[in-house]
Amino acid sequence: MSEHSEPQAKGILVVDDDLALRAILSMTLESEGCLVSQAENVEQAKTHLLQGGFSLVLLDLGLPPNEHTPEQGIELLNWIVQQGYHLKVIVLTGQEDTAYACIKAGAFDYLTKPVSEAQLLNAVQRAQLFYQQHQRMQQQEAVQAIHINVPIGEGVKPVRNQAEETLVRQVLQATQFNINEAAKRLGLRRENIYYLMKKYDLNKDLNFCSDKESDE
Amino acid sequence: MSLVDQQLIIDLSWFMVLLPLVIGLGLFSVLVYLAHRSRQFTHSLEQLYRLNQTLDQDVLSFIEQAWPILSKHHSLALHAQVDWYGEHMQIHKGAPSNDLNPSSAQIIHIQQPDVELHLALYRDRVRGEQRLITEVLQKTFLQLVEHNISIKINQVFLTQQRIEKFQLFAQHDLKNLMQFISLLNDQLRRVDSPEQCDKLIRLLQSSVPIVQQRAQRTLQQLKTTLSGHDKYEYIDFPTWLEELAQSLDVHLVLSGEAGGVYSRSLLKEVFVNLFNNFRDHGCATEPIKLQCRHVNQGESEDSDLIEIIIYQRQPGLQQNELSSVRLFEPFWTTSESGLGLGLFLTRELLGQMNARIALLDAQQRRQLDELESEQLFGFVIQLPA
Repeated sequence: MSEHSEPQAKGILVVDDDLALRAILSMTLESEGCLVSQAENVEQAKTHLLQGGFSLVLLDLGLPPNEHTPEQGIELLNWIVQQGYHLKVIVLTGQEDTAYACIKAGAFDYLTKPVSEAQLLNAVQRAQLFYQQHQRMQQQEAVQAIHINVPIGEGVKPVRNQAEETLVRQVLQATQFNINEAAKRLGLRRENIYYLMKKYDLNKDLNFCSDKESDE
Repeated sequence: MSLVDQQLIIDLSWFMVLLPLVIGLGLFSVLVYLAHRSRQFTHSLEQLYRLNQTLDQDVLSFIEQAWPILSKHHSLALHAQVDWYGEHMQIHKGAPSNDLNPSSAQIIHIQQPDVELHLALYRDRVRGEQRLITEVLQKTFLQLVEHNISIKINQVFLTQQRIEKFQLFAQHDLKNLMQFISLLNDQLRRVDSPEQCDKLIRLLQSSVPIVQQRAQRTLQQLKTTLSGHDKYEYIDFPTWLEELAQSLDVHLVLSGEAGGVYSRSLLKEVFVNLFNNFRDHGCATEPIKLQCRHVNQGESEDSDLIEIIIYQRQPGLQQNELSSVRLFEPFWTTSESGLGLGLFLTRELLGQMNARIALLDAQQRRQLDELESEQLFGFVIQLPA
């Protein structure tokens, strides 16, 4: 079975229900040489992300059906983190009191509208820099950065479990659910991967394109 | 054995038979009595809970209507002082306060924004299980009152939060517009080739109609929320109210003259609420009458008032069922479809202008119509002149 590697990062996904704003954001980013895709709701965003190839998501929190609450945006953010995507999420929102929820959910950066073009491009550049350096860490030194939120005062076992789950999830996602490759990357045997998948119920959580088959 | 001895034995035998019988009957009676008291107590507790549910945890109605249940179990009096969303009232049930022993009272005092309640429940002089039953019943009643107040406060608080959130997201639309314009401006500055120009024009062709719609919607929202910053202008009340009534298809009979400098949009909202209240709860066949006049309160012009009386004849009206405490209470309505916010908001809006609104009292109603004063329902509004 051929080895799978992380697809080359090639694009930015702009998620905003406002068509006009999506268009101008895309134009702004494209004028800087970025490849941009657009999504107007959570489902479209997930469809794009499952196809892979994004380094960055520019996310508005107010998405349908509840455009006037941040629920859908936070839900998508949680999904992205849970899926273990190695991309950076910049939240671009009109609400100022959602920073805590976004950063807790794993957003890389947080901007409040209206931002200037310079601020937006600066944030995008920073995010891409971090993304590229994390990719380099992984490829050159086999070091993977993971982000977890852990409660303190409950011992260290939950911390270990969360880190283990996050890492396994990310590697499985990166290898497109290739058990052999995942085992190789993690320095484990296949049986260990199956055990961890069962332990953290990863079969059901991970959503991959239906035409992709796991390699066993 | 002599006859006397035989008689004694017979008497003793009867005594030995009757004694346990009497004791048994006595015990049985006590048990029956206690069982009966217990059933009464349980029944009264159930009545309290059912009453509270039937009244939808309405605080004031529950305090009023629970008294018959409490008084059946040696509650001597209930005295309450209530400050309810700006309206004051006192509730007195049972014995007058000078006949009461303060040491026999169970008291609760609740102080929250907009709501303050001081309630004392007095007990009759009873002992034993009767005292216990009375105390438990009173404690249950007081706990239900506290619980109901907490629900009411939460209800108002949650709705206020929702309204604030809605306002925040109205600002969100505005920020989206500003973001679009800001980035468009940057793109316009960059255009330096026909291809870029074409691309920008195509973007504008698809985006501007959407932006225009959003701007219109945002402007509409801002118009209704900017009442605090609205400009003040002179309003001639008879003329202005006549026009307003016509635009709302309200049959209004005007008298008197008065005018002053006020916020037109605030006043419009006040009178629209009032007209809607008459439309929803008044008499469809009777006109709404309105009198306005200038009231000189003292030597200084600053204390002068504009007084507007708005009222309607409503046949079949039960004056004793009207209470300004309930009418101005938020989320209290007799209408199935209404929110119960109209009069509450009216009073809040008038408060912003240092104005007041009150239900017409008996004397004011008699001044309006001596013969049919009991059929009149309305309000008196006092605005600073």
